[in-house]
Amino acid sequence: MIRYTLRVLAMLIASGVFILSTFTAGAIVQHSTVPAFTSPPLPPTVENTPQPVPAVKDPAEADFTVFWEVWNIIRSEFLGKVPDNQAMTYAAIKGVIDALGDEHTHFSEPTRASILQSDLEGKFEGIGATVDAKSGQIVIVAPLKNSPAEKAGIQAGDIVTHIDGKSTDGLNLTDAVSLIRGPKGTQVTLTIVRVGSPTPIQITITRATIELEVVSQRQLDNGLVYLRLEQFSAPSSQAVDAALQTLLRTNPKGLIFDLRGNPGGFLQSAIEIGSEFISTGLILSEQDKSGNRQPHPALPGGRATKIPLVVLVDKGSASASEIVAGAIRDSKRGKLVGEKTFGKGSVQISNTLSDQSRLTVTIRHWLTPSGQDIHGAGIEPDIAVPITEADRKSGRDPQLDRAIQFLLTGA
Amino acid sequence: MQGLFKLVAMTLLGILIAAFSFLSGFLYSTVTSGPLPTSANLSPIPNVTRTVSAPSEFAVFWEAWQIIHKDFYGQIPDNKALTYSAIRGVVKSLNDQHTVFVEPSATARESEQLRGDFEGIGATVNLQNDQVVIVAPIVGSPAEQAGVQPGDIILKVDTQDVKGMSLDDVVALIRGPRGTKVTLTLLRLGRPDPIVIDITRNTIQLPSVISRMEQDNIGYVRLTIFGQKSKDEVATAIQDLTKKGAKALIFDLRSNPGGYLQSAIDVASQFIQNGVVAYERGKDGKDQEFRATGNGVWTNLPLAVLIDKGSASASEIVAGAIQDRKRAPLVGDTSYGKGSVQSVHQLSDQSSIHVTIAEWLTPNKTQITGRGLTPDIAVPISPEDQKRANDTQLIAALDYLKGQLP
Repeated sequence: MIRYTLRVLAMLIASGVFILSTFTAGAIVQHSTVPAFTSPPLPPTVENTPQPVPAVKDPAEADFTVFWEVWNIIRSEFLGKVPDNQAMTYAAIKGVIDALGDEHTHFSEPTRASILQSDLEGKFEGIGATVDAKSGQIVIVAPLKNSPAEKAGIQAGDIVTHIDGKSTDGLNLTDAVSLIRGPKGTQVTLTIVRVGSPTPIQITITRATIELEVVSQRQLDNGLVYLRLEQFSAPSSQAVDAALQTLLRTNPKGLIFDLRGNPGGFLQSAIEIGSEFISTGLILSEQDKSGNRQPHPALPGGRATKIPLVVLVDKGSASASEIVAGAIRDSKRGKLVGEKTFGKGSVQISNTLSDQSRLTVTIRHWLTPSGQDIHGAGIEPDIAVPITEADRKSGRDPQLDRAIQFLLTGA
Repeated sequence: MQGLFKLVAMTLLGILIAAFSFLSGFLYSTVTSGPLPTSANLSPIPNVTRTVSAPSEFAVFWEAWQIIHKDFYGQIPDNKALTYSAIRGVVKSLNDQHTVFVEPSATARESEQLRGDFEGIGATVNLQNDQVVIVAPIVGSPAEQAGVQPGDIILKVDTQDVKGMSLDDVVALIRGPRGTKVTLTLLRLGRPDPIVIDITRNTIQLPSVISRMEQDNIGYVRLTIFGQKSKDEVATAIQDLTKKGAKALIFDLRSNPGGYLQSAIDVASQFIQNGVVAYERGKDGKDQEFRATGNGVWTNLPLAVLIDKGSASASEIVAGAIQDRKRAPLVGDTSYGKGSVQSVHQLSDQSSIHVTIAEWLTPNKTQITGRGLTPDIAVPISPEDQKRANDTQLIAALDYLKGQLP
């Protein structure tokens, strides 16, 4: 039983926490400083939920003699501390994955797997703050609005030195996040170092259920409406549907759909959300190793299939975002404005293993309706508009401005 | 200096030596990840088989293995490559730079280096612009006698076109048991047509010692690796110099990445009459003593030992013993600082693993890991000196020894 779902790897929404950090550059690189993010943007992921893989014995074709020789020699002779069997097993799995040379195929130990899982579901229990690891420190990127973290006075830039008295020294992001998270109603005490405060601050926060805001929407001047999607997580389709319903009530002249910085998520969400804008034809096709294609046509019932449309994209628009952008471009349903997209054209399947660890494997590529594989290439916008650091600092958004101009003037 | 350094850096493969591939392979792994003071010689490991009960925690490995084979979109490396990669993953999780897995071809080269000979034609080769080029035939080797010259480009080995092959693979073709023949097709500058040369392979010696007489009857012996024959080579070289009238001796351990632990004890015993040379401290925390073996050939006369940051492991055992026992001054730069001992196991498919099993201590029970040995007479070599081949460390050692002579 395969359930297609959306996956947000790029954001590890941890204890109230997103970790958006690392892929500003759309870099596909692994971040050694942030082990929690070994994976780049979010692949459309096929969720292969608890699919108990039958316990297999050493498959006959694989001669593991040498492996066990090394294993036993290390166990009996190594001078230092020998990791336990589980850690050595995970290390062996990671070794095998290294040999595949695919940065989207990765292994998550149970702790991290469960954090990823809640991220995908779009809600979790924690304090509601985005954290990142910078230079070996756990730093608050921002508390989420109205979250327990915000109410307790957590501020952007705070450095978390201790969690319930335990030093964060040497903790990776995943470990820190799993300590901060916990059942709603329970408390966690963070020791914070803050610029301008001579001594560390202790803040006790009561955890709650945090729902991630995946969409934001607003009316623009000139009769246009704006909808932004942060990620293609489980609640995304419904949230987009509800937002469109509200926005379209006023009979707007045009719609701007903002996918900038959206790292992707579940494939099924991409199909559902793409179908809000496209009434006929394909959203995408999947192509397997042997070249067999599986088409995914638009689903009926889209709410915004006629309204003039501009999609904002940038180099942080990856994966599921590119599926939607590619479908809108190929069907000529709307214009893409902004920058070239990330270029992630592969599909991963996520397998939960018997010990709750998780193996995410690149299983297929997806193609745009016209049959293009954008992997490594990205999608060029119809109207290229760069945005500079200076624009960002001064709050200017020339990409949005250009989108508005296009919708108002048709050029 | 440069020339001497190369001896370590080059592996003498069948015909030769891969100057650069070796540099990145052996030298790197030996110097920085450390050579092998090893208590055990390469030995097959008994009684481990695949049926050795895999721990129950290992089940998820096969789950992952199967999923990857069933689902992975890209090219899947062959089972051997995956197995090696799994091994590297495990080894990496130990966080010890000296515990390393070595694939079969590198294992073979390493053991030749330590054994001190191999069978082939005796020439150094290198890869330049994707061509396999003869760097030089070894003096007196079958390659030299057959007329192979530096700069020759190898086109074919027997009937095999070598275009696009790796250096390792070409070397493997050229090598073979002594007495057998190999035919090389070579392209030589100034010759319009390829040259075909038949060469009969032989045993090629890889000496670990270079010696000569310097000024004022001061002998010079350089040891490049601590292999099986090193003790005899050192003793013989010193005896020859003694016959030629050497009154003082420089023992050069610069850029010597180490080798066998026993070889270190035996070489140190050439300079130290008796007593402790080093201690080994294993998992049990007990110190095992290694004592001088007696019958050393240079235990009383004036001596200076040259070290630098490339002097590692077995080199540091010898230098540390000479320093702690106040036998002679160390001259040069601080040494590398590798105070651990590895055992080297040859595995069933001819790959090998070096496992850190102990640390060693100097006679004063100093652990040198990360610190190295501090020279008694510190003499840095500036890049300018290096460029001009101005060996200021050797000069300082000569000056010191001149002061010791009557």
